[in-house]
Amino acid sequence: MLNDWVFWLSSLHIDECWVILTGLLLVDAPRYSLVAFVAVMIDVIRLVFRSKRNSADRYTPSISVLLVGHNEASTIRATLESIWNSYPKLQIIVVDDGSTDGMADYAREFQSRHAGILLLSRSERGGKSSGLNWALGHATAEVVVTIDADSRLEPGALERIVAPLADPRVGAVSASLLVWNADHNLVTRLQQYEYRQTIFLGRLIQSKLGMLGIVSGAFGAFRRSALEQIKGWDVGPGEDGDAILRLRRSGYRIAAAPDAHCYTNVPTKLGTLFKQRRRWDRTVVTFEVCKHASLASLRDRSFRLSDFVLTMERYFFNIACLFGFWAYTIWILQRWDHHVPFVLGAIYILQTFFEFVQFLCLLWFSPRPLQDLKLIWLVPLMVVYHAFLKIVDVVAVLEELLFRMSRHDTFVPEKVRRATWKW
Amino acid sequence: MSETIVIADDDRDMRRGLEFRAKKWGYDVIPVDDGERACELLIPKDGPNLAILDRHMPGADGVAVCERVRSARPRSDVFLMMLTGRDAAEDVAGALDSGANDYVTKPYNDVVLKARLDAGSQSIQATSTALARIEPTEPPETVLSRVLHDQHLVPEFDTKSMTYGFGALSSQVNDWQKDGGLSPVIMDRVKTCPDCNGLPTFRDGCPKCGSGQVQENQMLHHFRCGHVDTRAAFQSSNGLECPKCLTSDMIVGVDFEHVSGIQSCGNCHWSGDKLDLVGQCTQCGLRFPGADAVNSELVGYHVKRLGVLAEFAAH
Repeated sequence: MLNDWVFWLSSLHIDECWVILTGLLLVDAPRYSLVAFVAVMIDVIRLVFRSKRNSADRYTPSISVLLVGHNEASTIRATLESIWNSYPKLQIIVVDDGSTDGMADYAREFQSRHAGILLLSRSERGGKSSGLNWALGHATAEVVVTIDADSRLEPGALERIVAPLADPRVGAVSASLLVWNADHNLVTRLQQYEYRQTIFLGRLIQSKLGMLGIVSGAFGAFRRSALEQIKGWDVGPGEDGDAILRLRRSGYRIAAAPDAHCYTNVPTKLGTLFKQRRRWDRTVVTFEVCKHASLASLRDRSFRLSDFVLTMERYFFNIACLFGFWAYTIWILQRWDHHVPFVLGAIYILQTFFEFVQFLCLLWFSPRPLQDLKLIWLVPLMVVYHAFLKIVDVVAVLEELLFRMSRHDTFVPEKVRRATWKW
Repeated sequence: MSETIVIADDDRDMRRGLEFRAKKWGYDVIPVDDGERACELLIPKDGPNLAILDRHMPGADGVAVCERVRSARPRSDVFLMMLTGRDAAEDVAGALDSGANDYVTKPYNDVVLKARLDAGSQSIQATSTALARIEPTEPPETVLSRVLHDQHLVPEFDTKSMTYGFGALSSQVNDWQKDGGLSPVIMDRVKTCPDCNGLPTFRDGCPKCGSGQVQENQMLHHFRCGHVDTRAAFQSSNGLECPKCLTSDMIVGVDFEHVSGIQSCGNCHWSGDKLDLVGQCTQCGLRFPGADAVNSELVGYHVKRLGVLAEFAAH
């Protein structure tokens, strides 16, 4: 079989090779591997030709940590333990959003043993956005940090995430999410690798290019005055990405703190992962295409080139190329219908090569390269994993474009869904 | 049989809302829209035992109604709850001075209102039950005869000393017990004043100073944009308007909901999310943290040897 495949490859005309591999060479490679490679080269040049930059003075503003949770009784205590006493000037605000599992009791018990914790509790669920806004109204610190009620901070994470806010032009900071339950099974391991590539490396590069358009709600830092300027969060799902786009429209920069780590649990089953990513992937239509379409408008008075490029990048890669990729793949499989395994083999080899290039870039930028090196065995599996995610993406975008499925998402309570913006 | 409550408020929406809730909680409701009518219902001794009065009404306002009702009926006979404005400490003070048993600030929290109404209703019922069983001027011989007949001695609540005791037989009980005529039985446990063992009232209060002048800074949650803010922030010349998205003409339950916020004390300016239980002794007036209340046992007696008591009766 292998010999047949090699023979088939060698028999291809150069034009035919180009036809088969164009989809990868024009879409995925430039967006991920090529950009990462260029970022590494720039970093190398900077190291070689520039003098060492003096380390900045430590920036330690006061922090209000906001935790909003619904039925997180099993994890809230561990989350609070990881935050408590990890930073000098700290206010912790816990919002119990209509929990029925006793989450408020756990939080109240922790509150009784620790000072400086404010607990806000409501009997009916109102949704994460309003929970965050409710807590924001009681925040008194210069910086607001949002943490999911099922996440855990690594020691020193708060100090590292607020460091970029020393620049008054920065409105929000994205951190690095690590997978807490990575050892559970192959599904969680794949997500562990994916988080390193997208959340760590991808956002680091985007921030260097001034195109970072997302800060995870699971762990993110915001300048409180900037949040108050945009009047907090709008109704989700995707309220974290939406808030970042509104901050950008208000003229703020979004920075990255890739060495500020927070552990979070990820889905352990493919079905659950499918639902999660479907919800996430809808937001490119809900927000970039609908609500914040003006980011791409040259006539908008808050126009910035970086916002325009960010939006165009999303339109092109997340929508146009997504459908183009699948249409193209189906076409070339139909074109070489007698050699489908060989064609798929060629695509797989090239994809894995680009994945490996990206992995090397990850090791270059990683503050923990030895630990990331242990993930190398996942590189050959990522092609299949990404194909799965692309299927989810197509389903999500189609659902949102045709049926506006985000309006039926139970992430937002029904009473809120009925009254929210309908972009 | 359910209790009857008078709801007096000239604001039709407020009155209807209270009426709806009171009926849901099992009360029979008589709604009225002015203070004069409320007085007509509450002043007679056989009138309803519960009332919610709006502070501001045309004609006789809440304070005037309280004063007139109190001149005819004591606190232990009719429970008057005043509805006061949100930031009006003077209203609260005036309400309590005029004879109101309790107060609730607008906008009110359903859970708090129900708890206070139920507590007031139980207090009225307990007092009337105790009074029905005790005749303060009843001669000791008659009381003794009843004990001999029933063969048990139950402590009774004295509304003058605000303590439990055995009335005219108090001086004899210990002797009878020593002589073997009575055997003690724990009938109940009550929380009493740590100073004088009197019966206290309990309420939620400021954890710092114990004051009852606490207000909940109620917030509004606007569904459409997720904005949460104080009611004052939503107030505009045209009624309620969201300060974030400028939506007006909002309907509660459809466009927005009330959310309980932080508590703040009008006396010592403390603010926090949780009130503490505060006790106030009805006998000596001591105010103390609820956790300091003494768990006292209410001890009654079975008549063990009739002879001991009968001998006393013969003398």
